[in-house]
Amino acid sequence: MSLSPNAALALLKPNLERHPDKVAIITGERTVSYRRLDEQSSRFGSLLCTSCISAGDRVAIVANDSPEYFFALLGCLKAGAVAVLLNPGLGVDDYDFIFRDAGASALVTETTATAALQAQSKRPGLTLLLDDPEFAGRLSSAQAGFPSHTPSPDDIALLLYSSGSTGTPKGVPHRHGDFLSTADAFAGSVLAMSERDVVFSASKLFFAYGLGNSFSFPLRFGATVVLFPGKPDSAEVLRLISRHSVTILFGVPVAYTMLLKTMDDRNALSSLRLCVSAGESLPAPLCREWTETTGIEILDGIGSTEALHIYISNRPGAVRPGSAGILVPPFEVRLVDDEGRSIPPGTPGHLLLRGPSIAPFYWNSPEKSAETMLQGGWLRTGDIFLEEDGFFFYQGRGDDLFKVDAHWVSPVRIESTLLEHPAVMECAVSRRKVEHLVRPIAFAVLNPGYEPGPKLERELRRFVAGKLPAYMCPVQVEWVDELPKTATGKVQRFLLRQCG
Amino acid sequence: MPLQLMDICALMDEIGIEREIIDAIDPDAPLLTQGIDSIDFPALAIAVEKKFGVDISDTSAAKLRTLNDFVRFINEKAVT
Repeated sequence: MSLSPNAALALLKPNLERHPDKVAIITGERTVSYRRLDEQSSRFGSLLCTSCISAGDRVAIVANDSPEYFFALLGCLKAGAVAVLLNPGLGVDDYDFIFRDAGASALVTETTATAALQAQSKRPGLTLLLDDPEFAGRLSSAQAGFPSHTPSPDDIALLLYSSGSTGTPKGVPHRHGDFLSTADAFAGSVLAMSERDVVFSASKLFFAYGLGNSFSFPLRFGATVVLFPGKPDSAEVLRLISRHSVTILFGVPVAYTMLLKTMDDRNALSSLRLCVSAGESLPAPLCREWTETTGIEILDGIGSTEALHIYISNRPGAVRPGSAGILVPPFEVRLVDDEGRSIPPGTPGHLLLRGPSIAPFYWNSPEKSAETMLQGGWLRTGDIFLEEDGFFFYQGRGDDLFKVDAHWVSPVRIESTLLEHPAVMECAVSRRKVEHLVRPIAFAVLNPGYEPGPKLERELRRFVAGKLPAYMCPVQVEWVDELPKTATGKVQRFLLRQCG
Repeated sequence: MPLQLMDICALMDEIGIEREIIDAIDPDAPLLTQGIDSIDFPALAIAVEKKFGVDISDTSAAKLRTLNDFVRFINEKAVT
């Protein structure tokens, strides 16, 4: 049987040999060395084993970015458990679904994660509270010496959840080697990350993008990561960059927009050597405006949860605004027509992707897996691209999904929430651009007795904001007498789009 | 008559931004540092479009930062 390196050991060992006391993590006033990271993560792995968590068992982690998150994630990897990284902002129903779908044996969370704890209360299984003094005591008394699991190349190490086109989350599994191959391909070859770098990511660890940015990349190259629990506002991002002399900033387009709208002192960015944007397409005017204002390039790229990180990216010194950039080796891509035939450059086509870190299947979804993970190792990304001179330009999606603030948004999810309001008889959700960025908008047909107007629009927006994450809240509600539909009654959302 | 600050404040109230936040706004400081978040901001931009018939969809991100930026932008558009 062939074996594969355990990702935790592969990420930590070179640092322990080279600079064990180097700061691996900075958060607030606290620093954590590579040596401490290794010890605490071993204790965490040991704690899992003594709690009857075995290799292959799923451990859900619902927490803010913190050193304890690293201890838990590395501990899971060392123990061979599958870390299921989840957004701390989900609702009880989502957690309930995901815990069942993943078959989670344990929940690692924080005392403030009430929705996750409520969902977990209905299930048997271990719960560890990272911010509970009792947990700190248990961790410090756990054994630091611990025989790490040696995985086979196909062993699953990680499970991320991505929105599906119906709004139901789908599990995307990854193997130990995927952490390493994405780090080498992007952080190594494109960013030339080194131990001199200090990185900060506005995207959090539970995102594939944030996970590479803050976890596997800095550990792989012996850099230092700055963590911020919760969602930092623009002023906080500037303060963190300045205070810790951050050299690489990872963000999504809206984060760069917010920085431009609030930044008064450009000297706050003087330590930066590179900015990276992903999650959604970076508008060309925003890319130019940022570079003109700050003198620093933004490398826009495209990645996905299925690929674990970026596979097409602009390069330092060769940025083409409006383009996602050029291919990141060793990834391979093909652009094909609806029948799967290759198309010539300059023609929009469906992007197929192949590479070392592609998820082998969707968790518990054989049909969706068969549609997406094709023969020969190709992944159907669902994105439509056009290629010119090796540069790729995003053209949209083949389905109704779209991205807001780097989150996938399913119109179905917002529509079903709006329909819970007594005023709404029918509705459809589409999208439009505001200052170049995509935002959800709603079209509503009202029930008799309700008056359209600003008051009801405000009420509907508040209603959605109370039930769904803020980025799903429509920025505009349009009143219509009827929705455009096909002969079979399906809403034609593309007719409602106010952007591409 | 040129648009006044209070017209934008009334619009903010209409889209559901809290009165306390509106009353405390410094018209020359970035809105995003004064309690307006990344969800309220585009909602305000769209409300301005609808109410005053201007197009903000492709406006540069640095152009509209403060309340007075909105007032200037709308008054300039009204002239052109």
